Amino acid sequence: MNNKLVWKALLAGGLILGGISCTNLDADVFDQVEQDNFWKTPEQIIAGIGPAYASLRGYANGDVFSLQEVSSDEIIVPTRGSDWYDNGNWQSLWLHTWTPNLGPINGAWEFIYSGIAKTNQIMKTVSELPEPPANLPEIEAELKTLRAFYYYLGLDLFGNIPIVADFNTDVSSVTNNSRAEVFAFIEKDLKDNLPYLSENVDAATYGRVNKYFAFSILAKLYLNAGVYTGTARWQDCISACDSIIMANKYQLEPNFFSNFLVQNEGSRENIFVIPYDDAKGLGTFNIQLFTLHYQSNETFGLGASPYNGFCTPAAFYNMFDAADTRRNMFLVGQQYDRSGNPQVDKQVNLPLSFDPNVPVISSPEPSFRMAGARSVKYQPTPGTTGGMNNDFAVFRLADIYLMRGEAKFRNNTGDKGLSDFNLVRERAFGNSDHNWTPATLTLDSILAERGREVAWELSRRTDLIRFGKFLDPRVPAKQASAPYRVLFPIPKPQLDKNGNLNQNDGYPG
Amino acid sequence: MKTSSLLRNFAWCLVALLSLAQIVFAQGKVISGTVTDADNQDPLPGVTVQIKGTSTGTITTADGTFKLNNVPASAKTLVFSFVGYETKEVTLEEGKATYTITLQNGKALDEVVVVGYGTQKKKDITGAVTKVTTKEFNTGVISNPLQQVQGKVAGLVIVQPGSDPNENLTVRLRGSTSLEGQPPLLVVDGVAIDDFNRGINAIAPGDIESYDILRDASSAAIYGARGANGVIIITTKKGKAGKTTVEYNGYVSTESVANNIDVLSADEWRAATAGNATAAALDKGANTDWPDEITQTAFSHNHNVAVGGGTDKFNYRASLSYLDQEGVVLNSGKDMLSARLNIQQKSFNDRLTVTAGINTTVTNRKFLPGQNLDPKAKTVGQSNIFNLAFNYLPVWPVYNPDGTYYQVIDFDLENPLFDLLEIHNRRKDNFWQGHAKADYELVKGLTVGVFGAISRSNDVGDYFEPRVPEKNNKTFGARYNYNKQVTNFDMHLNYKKTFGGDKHSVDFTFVHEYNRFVNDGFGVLARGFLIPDILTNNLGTNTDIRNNDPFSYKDEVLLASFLGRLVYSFDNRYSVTLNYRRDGSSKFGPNNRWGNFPSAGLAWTISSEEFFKKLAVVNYLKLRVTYGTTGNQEDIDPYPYQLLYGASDKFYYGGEVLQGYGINQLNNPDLKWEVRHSFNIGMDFSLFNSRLNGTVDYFNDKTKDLLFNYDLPQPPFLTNRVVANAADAENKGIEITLNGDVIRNSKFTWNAAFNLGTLRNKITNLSGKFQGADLSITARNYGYADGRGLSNAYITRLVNGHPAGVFWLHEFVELRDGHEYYAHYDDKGQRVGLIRSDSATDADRVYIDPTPKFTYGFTNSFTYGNFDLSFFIRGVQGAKIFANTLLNLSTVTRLPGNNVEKSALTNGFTAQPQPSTYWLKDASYLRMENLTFGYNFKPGSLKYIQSLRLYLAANNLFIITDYPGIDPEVKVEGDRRYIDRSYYPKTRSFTFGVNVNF
Repeated sequence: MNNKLVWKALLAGGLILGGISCTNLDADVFDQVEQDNFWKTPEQIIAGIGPAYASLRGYANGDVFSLQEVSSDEIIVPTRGSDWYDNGNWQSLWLHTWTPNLGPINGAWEFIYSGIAKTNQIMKTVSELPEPPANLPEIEAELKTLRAFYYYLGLDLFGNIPIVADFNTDVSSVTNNSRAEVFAFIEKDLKDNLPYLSENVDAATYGRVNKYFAFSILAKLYLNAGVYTGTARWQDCISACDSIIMANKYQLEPNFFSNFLVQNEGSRENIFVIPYDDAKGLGTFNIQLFTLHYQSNETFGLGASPYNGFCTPAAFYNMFDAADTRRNMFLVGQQYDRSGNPQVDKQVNLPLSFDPNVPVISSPEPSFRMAGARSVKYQPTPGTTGGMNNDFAVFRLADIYLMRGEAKFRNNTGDKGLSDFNLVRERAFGNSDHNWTPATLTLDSILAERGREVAWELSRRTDLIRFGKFLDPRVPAKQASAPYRVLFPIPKPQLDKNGNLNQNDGYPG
Repeated sequence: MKTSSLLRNFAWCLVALLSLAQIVFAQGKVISGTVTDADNQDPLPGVTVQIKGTSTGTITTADGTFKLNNVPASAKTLVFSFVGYETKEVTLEEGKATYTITLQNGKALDEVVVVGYGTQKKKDITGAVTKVTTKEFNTGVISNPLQQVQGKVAGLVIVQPGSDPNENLTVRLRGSTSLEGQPPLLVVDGVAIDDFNRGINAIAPGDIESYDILRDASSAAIYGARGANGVIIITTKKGKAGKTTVEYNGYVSTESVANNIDVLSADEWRAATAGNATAAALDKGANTDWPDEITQTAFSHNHNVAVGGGTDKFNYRASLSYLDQEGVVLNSGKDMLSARLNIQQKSFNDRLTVTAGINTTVTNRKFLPGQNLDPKAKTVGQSNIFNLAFNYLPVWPVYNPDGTYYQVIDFDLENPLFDLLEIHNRRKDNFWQGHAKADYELVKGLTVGVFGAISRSNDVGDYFEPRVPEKNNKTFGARYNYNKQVTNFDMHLNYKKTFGGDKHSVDFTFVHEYNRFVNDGFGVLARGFLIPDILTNNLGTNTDIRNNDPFSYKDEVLLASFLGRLVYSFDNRYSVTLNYRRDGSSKFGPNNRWGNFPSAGLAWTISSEEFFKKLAVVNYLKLRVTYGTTGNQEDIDPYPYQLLYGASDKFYYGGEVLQGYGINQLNNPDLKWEVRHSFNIGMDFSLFNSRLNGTVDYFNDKTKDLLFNYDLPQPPFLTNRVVANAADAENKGIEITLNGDVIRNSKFTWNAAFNLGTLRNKITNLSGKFQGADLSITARNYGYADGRGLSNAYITRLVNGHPAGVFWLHEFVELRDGHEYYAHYDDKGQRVGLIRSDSATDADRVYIDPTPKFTYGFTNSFTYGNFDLSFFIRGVQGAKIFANTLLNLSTVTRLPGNNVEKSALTNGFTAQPQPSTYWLKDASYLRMENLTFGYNFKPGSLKYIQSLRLYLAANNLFIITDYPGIDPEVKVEGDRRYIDRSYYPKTRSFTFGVNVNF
């Protein structure tokens, strides 16, 4: 009887549904904005470029640091009891037995290529804005120079890496470039963009790219050109260093340690720094936690217990003369708490006294907790739970002098670098009594001088390779390693993800 | 309106035919009798008695009797049917006029099952659906409602690692769709709950009437957009027409630690380190059992009072629940106050039905230090407190003579009592939900309605950490406020019709729904408070606040759906279910926003066929088969397809620190629905006079286009991961449920129920596309062993051809001169001798599947007069667990500075062991989950009291297992699956409870 009603109702229902059905699926975005709503003001353009720099904060004690330092004779991470075994990662870096699967190798690769992709992305976005900023050439030059630094790291660690200069690169076209091609790419990018970079050295360029940052990368590139390309470029290295030194914008700090203080913004020596300020959100540089003993928080008033890992073995520590103020970058011997009482390692009931000797790479002995000299080159930041506020010097003038000196020495230029080396050495000793003479200045002494000056500044592996010492046996436990170890392997996860990538010679694909 | 007149004519014909039949058979005989309950012989009123094949029938009276006049001579069979009871057909015998019928309380067959947007008779169901009602619930300390059904349903795996009152259960139905694992969709009284854990925790267990578990895709299809992981429907108790009833359910219970890691006692430590000068100096002469020191015997009590009643037009039920549960670990636990009101009103000649309910719950939680640091996480997280208690030396005192804590600060060393008692880690969860539904029956069989619900949760967290002078830390305080608001709305239409002499029945449902989910929150962290007593009550008193310390966020997700369901059944023999669902989600880009998810099911009740009736042993037999698809998008962030600029890292510029903005997440505009293709074939049967009922199901589900955080090659991409549809997986298994009345007489009954489920999960593909590029990986390292010296120690993987989270370990063979030796494999994968652990490579690793062969539950219930006794056993067979805690603790070289687990003295390791199969332990277990002994006072024996039941229950009375750790029940989801590391101890509890009705 009611079937008419049924159909009417169905129809009405359908109409109602059709009329008032909710199909709006455009969800509001609240705490972010779409790309089109960004890049609107000069301040937003600054804030959009900033993250390119922020990525650099992973440099000072991340995976790049581990690869550069722990593979050298400067830092060892021994296995203390069970601590710091970590899948054998640290031992394999020291022993040169790493495989393409090693976590930090992939970490360093991704650090480098995330940085490169970020600069590419920002560059592309800014250049395609409907109203590009007036200073677009300067912005592009700044970003390309920053990108060149990342490529320089990749060139140095991995050698034959892909060059990707455009953010929208098709993954299928990404394959290895030769180390020489990468070298040429970096050199060209740096030189092409020099004219657009600021020559100022002031608050505005602190922690930012300027001309002298670009010259510093060029200097490094030329200093190692023989390693990178097979062709030495000593004169180019000298010229690049000259461009920095002659500009007279920087000077050696009378006190070596001024460059590494918690408040080191005033250093006139540091050319390019990565600024850290834990409280303001510029974290996390915590090398103090990696090297200091679990109970060193009582020595320095840290807000957290450190990790007792990285240390420098005796062979390196012993290169320092007792009169060399730079030796104070290491903690050795009995430690004292802030009240001046000698400290005892409360867990093993032994004096908390660091011994630079690291006779074995792994030991459960209680005293082994104190093995190795600890670095306080970067002044520990009291009170923090780890994040240090020291700005990290990527390049500083003393290194430029040492580079120029070495290039002059090898190139037989002028005084063969003697005055450059002595400038740095006089600062270290406070007098000229320990100066090098033409007779004492040798390649060995140059390498040792570099080691003392730029220890823990991510330079040692590169230097050892240039001096042909990287593969040598070392105490403890390291045997002579195969020549192919001068390059790290292309990480296995990257080979898996991109079939067009080829492994470096010597390593299993 | 041609169709309409056709239908009208048809209906007229029907009516005419029926009237004719009555006239023709007006001169019949009289048949009478009594219908009683087969279990207790009580008379059954309201039973429908019908002459088969006709509409002639009657209903039994209050004393269970019936009388049918005018029974035609041609009538051969009477059909007795009653909701909740098995339908029975009785053949009329020549000359017999009085019949005594017993009806079996139908275990499954005729009951009504909640299937989403309505109910269905179990007999019409084509999919795999399980119902669990009040009397089958587990009893004891129930801090999470799902503990009531833990182990009761084949295929529903509920895992509780440890007995932390605040830890969420891991709930998985037929394995999960995503690789990380997701719980099923939770639907409470018709409201789909956005957040499984919040939703389930807000329900007072005493308010729950039943659980309906939709296991296969066809059943879950009605919740297509969100039902890919299965659906758990909870129905809360409603008021009943008639006398007002007042109910009280309550219990008190005590809980104690069932098992713990055996670390050395002070004397054992002294014996083990005798002669060691360092040890002598460390010995402070104390005798402290730290694991014992941090625990207590916990006391809990729970009360649930409910008032219900009504008329045939209106009914209501209001309840108030309170639970106060202490944790066995000091200073942990929760209390929860919950109120619920359900009402139903009928009007306009019963055509309009309005139902509404509100529920509000306030829970105060006390967390352990280190827990709940990420309130968005699915679990509250592990606390380091157990590690500290295992490490801290037994020869150290809790307190110094001056009453301060005895503190040694070093790696994993810190006085555990200090952390436990002095760190303030609380959260108040406020949950409120209201829903209302109006259904109007336009004409008989056709109902239209609207439904709306709002749920709101608000968590207020408080964290305060005081200063430890030896650590030199600053005091630290944080307070935060997280909100979720969910709005559900639907319009629905239902048409039910039977025709053709009741041979054909049609049930059509159409629903349009729209859901909105909004998350927002804010909080502040700060440091350096002078007066710790103020806690976080005045964060302004800080002396150190940092740039990233204040925070807030907000996001939104929208879902819209249209769905239709048609159920057609013929002659109680064949039943067909067709579902079609179209879902849209704001998480996907405009091109891929909508997905279509059809499914179909078929059921054949073989036992209703003529040819089958000769088999007296089989009372009921039904075959079911379903195939269908469901979509999934739950586990991804709200805006994955959009290119958004948000807060990036801060940076330094011109002497200032500025906020950077950038792309935080690589967007994937091609993202689309993950789809689960589910196949289920099953059988329901009832044997031996319906004394043995059972269900068997086989399922084979393939999930395609799995939403997965995919590995991207760098270069050229910005990040190393992106959300993409880039993996496939399959889940298959068998589920068996048996229920038997072993003994059934007026004095004594014994019912036994058994269920068993298997699940095999396998990743079948790990490749896909992103921005047009083909991407593929063979494996990803996933879970890891952790602890001292164990960074980067990956032990599980996601790899093609293996279950998600398969172990990837070196095979331990022996210890030789203190070195571990593993099996060695050559390039071809052939085993060739042994290799020392420090030379072993990834090529020496093997894959080992940790997943159980099967899980099972076994319930036995006995009644004798007024006494009842039941016990429930559940277990897991063939699972493997990586004993990470033992790996950390079982090395003698930890002495004397750290305590060790006892086996360290004898296991032979003289250096820190590395992860290998040595630590992979058989985790099969059989647990006596519940033993309950109850007494029911006879109805009427107590004045004013309708019924009274007292019971004693014991939970986790014993466990049979070879597993050497604390307990073999560990997490089975995420990257910590099957890895046992420092869990909250499992408890054993004893409960005394009362259920009373006035």
